[in-house]
Amino acid sequence: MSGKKQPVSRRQFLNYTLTGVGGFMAAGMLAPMVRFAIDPVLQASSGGDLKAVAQVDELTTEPQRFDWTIDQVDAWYESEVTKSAWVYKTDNDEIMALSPVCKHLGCVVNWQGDPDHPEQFFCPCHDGRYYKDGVNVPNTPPNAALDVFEHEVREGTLYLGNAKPRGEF
Amino acid sequence: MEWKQKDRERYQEAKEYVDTIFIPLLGIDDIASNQAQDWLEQADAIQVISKEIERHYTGRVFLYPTYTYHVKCDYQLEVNRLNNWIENLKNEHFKHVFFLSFDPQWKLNEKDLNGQLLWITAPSINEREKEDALKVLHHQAKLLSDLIRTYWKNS
Repeated sequence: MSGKKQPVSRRQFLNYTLTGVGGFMAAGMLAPMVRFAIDPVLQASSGGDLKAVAQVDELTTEPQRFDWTIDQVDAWYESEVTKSAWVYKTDNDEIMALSPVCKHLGCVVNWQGDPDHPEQFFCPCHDGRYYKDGVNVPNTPPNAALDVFEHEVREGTLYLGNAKPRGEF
Repeated sequence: MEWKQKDRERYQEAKEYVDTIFIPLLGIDDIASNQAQDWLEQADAIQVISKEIERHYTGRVFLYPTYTYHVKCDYQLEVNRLNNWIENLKNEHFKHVFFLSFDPQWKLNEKDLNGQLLWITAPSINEREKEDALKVLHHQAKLLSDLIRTYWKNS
């Protein structure tokens, strides 16, 4: 075994293998840390599935109720759940989709549900009231405004996602 | 609210607001019998309507699991058992008790029941026409919800 036939010396060989193995070990440690650090960027948007709910040309400035169903897994039991929204166009021609779930104890509120207070949403359970923009009327049981649905318009169809409390927009 | 683990905590926090018990009554029969189809349709319908009413009034109505009985039972005995149930389920917060049924036999025994019987005729629904059936059932639930509200108003 002469030196000429061995271009890689013992020292070089050890250097290469140590660098290689060390590199792998370092990568093994760093990769999860990097993944961890950039995780929020890779997170799928929590918007959830959007559901087609109505045609945009059906909408008026008067709130209308639209119902749709979603599959919901409740513990280990999967069921079909009905969801509703009160949808209208604001004076600025923007679409407003309010969740009908009362912020007091979760009953379903109705537009103009109380003849004494037209132009308001009314909760039949404990007489909670909300103005047309969903803000709760002071001195009624609810202590927060109605949630607002995420919405999207695609080719004239209104899609709704999750309802979110005010302030999360 | 309903008979589920997640609602127990909710109930504890809001019990003074929950003043209404709701119990669906469901008859069952031998699956091989000729009438089984009717009872099966009613089982689906009563489920959908009860759930929908619970959804409308989740902060005020407590939906207990469906009371199930055999359709060839002695209804007078069942009335006694139900009254016993109510006796034991009622606490100081519950002021209203509603039963929901499609079975005319309950209508005949209504006066002995310790609560309001909401009796309606069974809609004939078919699983294959689910969309239409749901519309009908939700409409019925809406009407019954309005009826429950009038009881609340008058109390």
